[in-house]
Amino acid sequence: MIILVNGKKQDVQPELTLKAWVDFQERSFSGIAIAVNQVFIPKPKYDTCILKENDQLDLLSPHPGG
Amino acid sequence: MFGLYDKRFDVPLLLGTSRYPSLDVLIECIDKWGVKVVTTSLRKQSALNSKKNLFWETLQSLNVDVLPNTAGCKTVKEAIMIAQMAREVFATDWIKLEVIENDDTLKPFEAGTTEAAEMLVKEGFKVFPYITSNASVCEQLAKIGCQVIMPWGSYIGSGQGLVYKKELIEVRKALPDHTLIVDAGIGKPSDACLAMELGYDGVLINTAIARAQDPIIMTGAFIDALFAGKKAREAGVIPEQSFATPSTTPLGMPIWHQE
Repeated sequence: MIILVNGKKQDVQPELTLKAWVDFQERSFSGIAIAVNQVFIPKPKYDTCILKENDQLDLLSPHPGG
Repeated sequence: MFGLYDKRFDVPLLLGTSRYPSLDVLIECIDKWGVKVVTTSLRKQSALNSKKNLFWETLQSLNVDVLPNTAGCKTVKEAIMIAQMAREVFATDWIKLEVIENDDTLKPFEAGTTEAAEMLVKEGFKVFPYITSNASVCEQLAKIGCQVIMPWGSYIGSGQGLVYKKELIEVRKALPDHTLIVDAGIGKPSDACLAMELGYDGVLINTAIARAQDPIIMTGAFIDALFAGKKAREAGVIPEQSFATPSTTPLGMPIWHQE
């Protein structure tokens, strides 16, 4: 199925949990917060968040700001 | 010393971290002048495969408290979500709450800011609301539980200074025991000095320092001005009056010229 990660399409397995998706990425998610369809998902809830077709993931990280 | 919730600070400058010529210049502004509080934001990563966040790694290595913001949010829902995400990423309950009316003026959306502040306080956040200099709205935020209030001096990034000086005086009178920080619009060290003379506890500055020809020297100039204003406030500034009073006594004045 297709999901959008920061606006870019990604083809992933159906019924994937957010935790499984994170584990599959070859990077640390320290310093990154994730929202799915504009709802913040705290890290302890990654394993109960099941991704669906066309879900939008927003990965936010620290950036300069005033 | 002034307080930001349960913490105390000497340097009354909260420094924004955006728009500097380089990260090295920002670090020098912080290190050289003993800045202890810096603001940050959360944004989408432009490079998904990037494994390093040099900005964040650098801030973590400095002896500073981080105040994340909700910059750009126009709704209560957006601001709440960004605040929650910021708490996880930055591991702090502090949040500089910004809910704006529009992108042109970046004017605080008073009702939205108040509603979001109330919800965030209930969730345990220590809220620093960016708000207009409307004293009744500031009082409302204080009643909700905001111990720090940050009224604007003028438009963000405008450098116009304390356009709302009279209103800022009213806010100080209305909230004599709250920490008040002028946020937005400060352009020159003299603006920061004036804020302190009015009894404010500090200022939040980004553009006026970051876009100066020499941000490092400008940081020092602002800190000198802040302490000058603080000292003047403590010393007691004379009240303004609309008539002249000679500083040299007229008594004993030779009267030849009156002939």
